[in-house]
Amino acid sequence: MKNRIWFFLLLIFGACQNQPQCDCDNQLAKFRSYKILPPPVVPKDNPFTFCSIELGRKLFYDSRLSSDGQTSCGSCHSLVMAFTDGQPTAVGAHGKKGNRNSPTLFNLAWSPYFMMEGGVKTLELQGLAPLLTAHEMMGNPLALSNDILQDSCYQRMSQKAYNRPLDYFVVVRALANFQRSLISLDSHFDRVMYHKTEKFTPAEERGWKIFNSAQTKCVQCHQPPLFTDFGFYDIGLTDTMDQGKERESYRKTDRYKFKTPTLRNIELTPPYFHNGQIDRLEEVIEFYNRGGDANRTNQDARIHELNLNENEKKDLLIFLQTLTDWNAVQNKRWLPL
Amino acid sequence: MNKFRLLIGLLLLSITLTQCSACKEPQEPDENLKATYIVHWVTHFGDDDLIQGQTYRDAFNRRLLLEDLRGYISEVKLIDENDSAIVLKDFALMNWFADPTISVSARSEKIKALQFSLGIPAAYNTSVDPTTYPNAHPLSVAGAAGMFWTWNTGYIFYQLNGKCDLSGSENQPLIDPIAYHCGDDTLYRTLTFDIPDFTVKAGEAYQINIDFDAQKCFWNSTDTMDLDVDYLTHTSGNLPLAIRAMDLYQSAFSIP
Repeated sequence: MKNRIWFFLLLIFGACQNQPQCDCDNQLAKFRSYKILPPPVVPKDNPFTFCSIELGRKLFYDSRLSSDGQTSCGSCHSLVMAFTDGQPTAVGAHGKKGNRNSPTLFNLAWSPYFMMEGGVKTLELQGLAPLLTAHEMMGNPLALSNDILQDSCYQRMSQKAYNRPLDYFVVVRALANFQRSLISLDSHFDRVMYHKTEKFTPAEERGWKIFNSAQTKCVQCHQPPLFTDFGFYDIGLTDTMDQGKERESYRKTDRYKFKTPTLRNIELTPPYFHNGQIDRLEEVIEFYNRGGDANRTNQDARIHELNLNENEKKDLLIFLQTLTDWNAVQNKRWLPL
Repeated sequence: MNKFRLLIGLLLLSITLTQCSACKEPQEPDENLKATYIVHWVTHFGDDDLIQGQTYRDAFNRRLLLEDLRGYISEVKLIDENDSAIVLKDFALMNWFADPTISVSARSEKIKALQFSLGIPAAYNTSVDPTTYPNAHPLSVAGAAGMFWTWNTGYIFYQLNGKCDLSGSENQPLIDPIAYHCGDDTLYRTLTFDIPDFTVKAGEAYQINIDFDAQKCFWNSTDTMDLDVDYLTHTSGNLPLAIRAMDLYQSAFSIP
């Protein structure tokens, strides 16, 4: 009988010790060799360890970081939609509506700056924006919630990854490292262009040529392999509520300019543009084909009538669909723990 | 052999003792040998006391309610007779409603001026990560208490929030918002006040009063905010108004 009691006690002890969510490996994680891109630069004060990534993953899906306890990073950045939310503009804690479309989080490891006007220089600092902004998670700047601070699992992972108790220092760094791990470079396009293991269909090939043509110049701003040049442009949207880059630079010449978004996984991230005003990719192509709508002085010179016919528009759409990375959006390592 | 060992031992001991005295860190002067400098901001709104939630009048005699009035000050220094500075505070977030005072012990000198800046110096403004500061630091996430722009890295130097009644009535609710959120390297201002020379003896305290008239955040002899149009700036989007708001805010400080 005594032996049985000891057995059960040991079993319970073992179960407590072996909580998989709290255990993490603090070895440095390595980025795969992508060949097409250099390894991302990681800040010295945020070692890219498996433990920090796992901690970031746990925090990313934890709604206790928000003021209503119901909104997590994952609420607006869902893996199956390439870390977007399908909404025109994001809805934050307490149902507060933001004024911008949730961007994809893939490949942020190579981004030189963040936010649509580029006002934040590091992925670590970027994390503070959704955490503390009133129309996003509206977290308390004075302290993290007691629920999170008293979570022994978090404290254990925090000590292991950063050698300090969980606080905003840890939260933004862990979230940054989780986001750095979100890499999507395994689309049909990649396998055709870089790995040479697949081939374009004739329609995809025609679409790729249109994308690169002097007629459309799509490729000039949406440069492979990341399909963005990180530049800021007024593309002729009629929205005048959001001043775009001017908010950060104070220059009128930057009015209504927004950072070029990546086109990777574009078919999974509707609706489109900074305010999510266009629902379908076909309509986006149509928008560019008519040369935008606003025709203001700041509008980029490359936005003009393209005169694409119906077949060309279809081919362009088919090409854009080659940028979808189906492996990435089904990667279980990026789902909640 | 024993003598040799003794000699070696004495040699090592003397080296150790010499090293220890050379390593001694410079001692901070005894607190009792320091003077206490108190800088106190005497706050008011024109002829009235400055109270959070109180209703005042703008330049057009319309009612206005002040809800939040805070600002960063930095590089608070006393200038002594040799023009060298005694730094009292690197940074402080001041709530102008809450008996703003700083009190610091420092060396006793003959003082002739007080200097402080409004805002955060460029080296600390946009390139520093607030999560790296301990919570009690005024530049930390907690210490900044919302005075940090997360979407466009940098601190809010000066923030005034309130409401007014543009209808000019005496009994309508105050619903028209006022928000001056100013912060940008170009808005950093340094104020120097010459004060009658004084020396505080070690162990004694001396208080310097600085006048802060919040009314001047709305109008002074050179500029007037018309709350009908001059009611909102987050710096971005309306830099000209942020510059005017900062100029008026600067003019609110004086030596009584």
